[in-house]
Amino acid sequence: MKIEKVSSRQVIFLIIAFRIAIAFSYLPAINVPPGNQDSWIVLIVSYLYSTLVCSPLLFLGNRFSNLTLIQYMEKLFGKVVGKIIGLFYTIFFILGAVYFVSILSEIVRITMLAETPYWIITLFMILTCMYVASKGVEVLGRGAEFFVPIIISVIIGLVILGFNKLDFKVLLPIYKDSTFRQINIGAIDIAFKFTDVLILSMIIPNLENKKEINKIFFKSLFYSLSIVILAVVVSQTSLGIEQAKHANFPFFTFTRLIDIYRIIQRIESIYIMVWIISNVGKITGYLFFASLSISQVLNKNKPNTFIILISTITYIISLFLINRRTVLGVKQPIENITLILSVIAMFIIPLIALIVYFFRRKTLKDKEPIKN
Amino acid sequence: MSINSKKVLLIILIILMSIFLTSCWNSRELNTLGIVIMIGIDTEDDEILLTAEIINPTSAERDMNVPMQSRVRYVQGTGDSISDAIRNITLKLDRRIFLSHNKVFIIGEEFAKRGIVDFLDFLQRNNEHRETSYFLVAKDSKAYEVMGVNGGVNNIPGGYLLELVENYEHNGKTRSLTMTEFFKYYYDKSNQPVLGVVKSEKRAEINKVSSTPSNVDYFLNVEGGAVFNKEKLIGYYTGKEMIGFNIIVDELKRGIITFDTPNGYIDRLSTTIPPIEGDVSSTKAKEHGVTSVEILSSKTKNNIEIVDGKVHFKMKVDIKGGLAEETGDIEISNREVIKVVEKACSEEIKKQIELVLKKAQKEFKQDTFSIGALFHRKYPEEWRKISDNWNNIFSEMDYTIDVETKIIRIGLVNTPSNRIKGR
Repeated sequence: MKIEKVSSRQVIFLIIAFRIAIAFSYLPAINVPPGNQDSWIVLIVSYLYSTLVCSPLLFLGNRFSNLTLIQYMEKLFGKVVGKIIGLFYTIFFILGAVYFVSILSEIVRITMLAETPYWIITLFMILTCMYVASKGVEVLGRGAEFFVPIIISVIIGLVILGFNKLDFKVLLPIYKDSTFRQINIGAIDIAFKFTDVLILSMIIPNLENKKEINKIFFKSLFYSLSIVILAVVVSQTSLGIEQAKHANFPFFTFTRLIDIYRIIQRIESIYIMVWIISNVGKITGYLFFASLSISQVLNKNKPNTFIILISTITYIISLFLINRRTVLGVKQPIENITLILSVIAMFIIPLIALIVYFFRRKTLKDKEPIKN
Repeated sequence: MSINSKKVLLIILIILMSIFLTSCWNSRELNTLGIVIMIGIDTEDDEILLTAEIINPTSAERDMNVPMQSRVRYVQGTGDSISDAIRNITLKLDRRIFLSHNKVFIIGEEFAKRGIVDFLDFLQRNNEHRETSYFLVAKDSKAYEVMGVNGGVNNIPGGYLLELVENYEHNGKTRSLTMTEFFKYYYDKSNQPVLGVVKSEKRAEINKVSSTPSNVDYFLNVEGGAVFNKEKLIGYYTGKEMIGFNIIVDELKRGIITFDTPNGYIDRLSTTIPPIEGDVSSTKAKEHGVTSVEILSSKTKNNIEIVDGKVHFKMKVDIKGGLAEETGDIEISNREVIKVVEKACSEEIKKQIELVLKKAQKEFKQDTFSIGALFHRKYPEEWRKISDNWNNIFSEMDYTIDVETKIIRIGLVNTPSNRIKGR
């Protein structure tokens, strides 16, 4: 079977798109401790924690560069445990897709289509994402390469247009109202929200240059964090610290303030456009990787067979969820569940796998040489 | 699949998409909307009374035959909350209220005194309403009493009031605060919000024959500022005090400062017009001349210090201005004279700043200038200890005001009109 190839740049763009989709939706960084003018410091510190949290995954990714996360877990833990872990990651990706479908449906309904029923919004969203996901990883990579520069340009353009609304004094005093502990708790929280790194572990076999795994990780982390810092600073300096925390979509609220001599105003629809593109990209990615995971758990070569099934499950669960509650407005217990699952998926399982790898590396080498 | 089948499938897909993607669910046709451009909020009988000015599309066009008042309609709704009151309007109006073009919110004085923030939640929450609409307090009246007054040339009263509010840039005697800005100040622990005001005033009788017996005899005045204690209205700043206020918060864009012409300098080059025998006015003008300086730019640098355990506020104001008017007996083209005028202007600005600072300290006993935020930035450790008691500390705070004025324009003439330059 021909393996689809993606370039390092495409993967970097893909990870950036996934991360900023969340940042520009509800900016979790604003609400994590200390929840004040030092949020940008929290994000910078989170760089360190993200590296620490993701290091087991990165190490294993480098060791098993011809295998996806699901495949090397099976190799390390054996068939039964390996498949259970694979199933866990499949569920994790499905839940991720459900979460983002619910958020995007809510965003679309609040900002634009106030009276359209959720089943219609969600249906069209899932159909679009399902179609793109069925085209494979190459299309995902090319899509990211095409759309992410547009998304970033629009965001920077909006920041420039709204620059007169920013009051940087809001960010003062620096690191005086927060403690070292608060900054670190916030940074750890943010680091565990960077679940998008899991897609790197799923996409490694498709990389054109497998030696660049670390480079991809650090570059995508740096660029995505820089964009998130921009979003946080802009939201806080335009709305004030407290009002930014009140807002469900702080950056969106900022775009609504843009007004230049009554000529350039009401341009938030441009932002909504790129917002939807980035979210659709993210949902597509999660649907694809969920399908890929389950196909590898079941040892089937064609992930496309599962895309319809996964999409249908995602559609039903997200519809069930958003018709009963608001995902954005009332974040608990979903946020806590997501955090626990993220810690398990990103850190605990890879850490155990890493320990197992060190114990079993000789046996593994004897069985089958690992291709680097 | 053959190429023809693909084409047929594509055409079917396009037709299906055009059917499904018309956003019919959310269609809002113009002929079903009541486009609101101004809203007034009052309390009556413990209920919210909401008055909305709605464009009457059939006569909003610039037709001279259409009376000004029929270009808009006024509808009222009552309810226990703002959303309830808005929804109740649809019981009386044949169109759905559409808030997206609303530019101005007028808050009735009684409602403002009761406290406004809990009811403003709807406006923050509702995505149709814009965060950029202005908030004003109807001074000494209900909100609906100032609505419908159009003393300007704008077609509709809402547009007229909006223009007045946005004239803020040319006149520092008021303040235009949007909803987002109001909440920024509201959430700031060290600061109390100051909103713009609006008052309906009767016009002096001019050309009585042609005027129609309607509220064109009235005009609106947005001079002054409404001071809130977080969410409750507690008093007002006058127009003059607002100039001082705007200088302190460094928001003054333009404005006129008028002061007595300094008499300390006698020009040797020019000669005054000799007074006509028995005419008191020319002599009086000479003695009590006034100078008006137009502020072209204003920059305020605020600083705060702790001196002997007491908070000391320091202001450095740099004003660049142009001589707008001179009725006094001085020679403007002389550099020394200009310096005297600059000094006198600085003194007047200082007085206006002191006026508003004293009022805030002694009458309102609260910080309306974000001086607490300045203290917080400079002394974060101390701020934690005193933040809850900040208003008391502010009331006892000492201050030093240093104003420097530079007159960089003198207009088209160099000598006041009441003087003869002579040799």
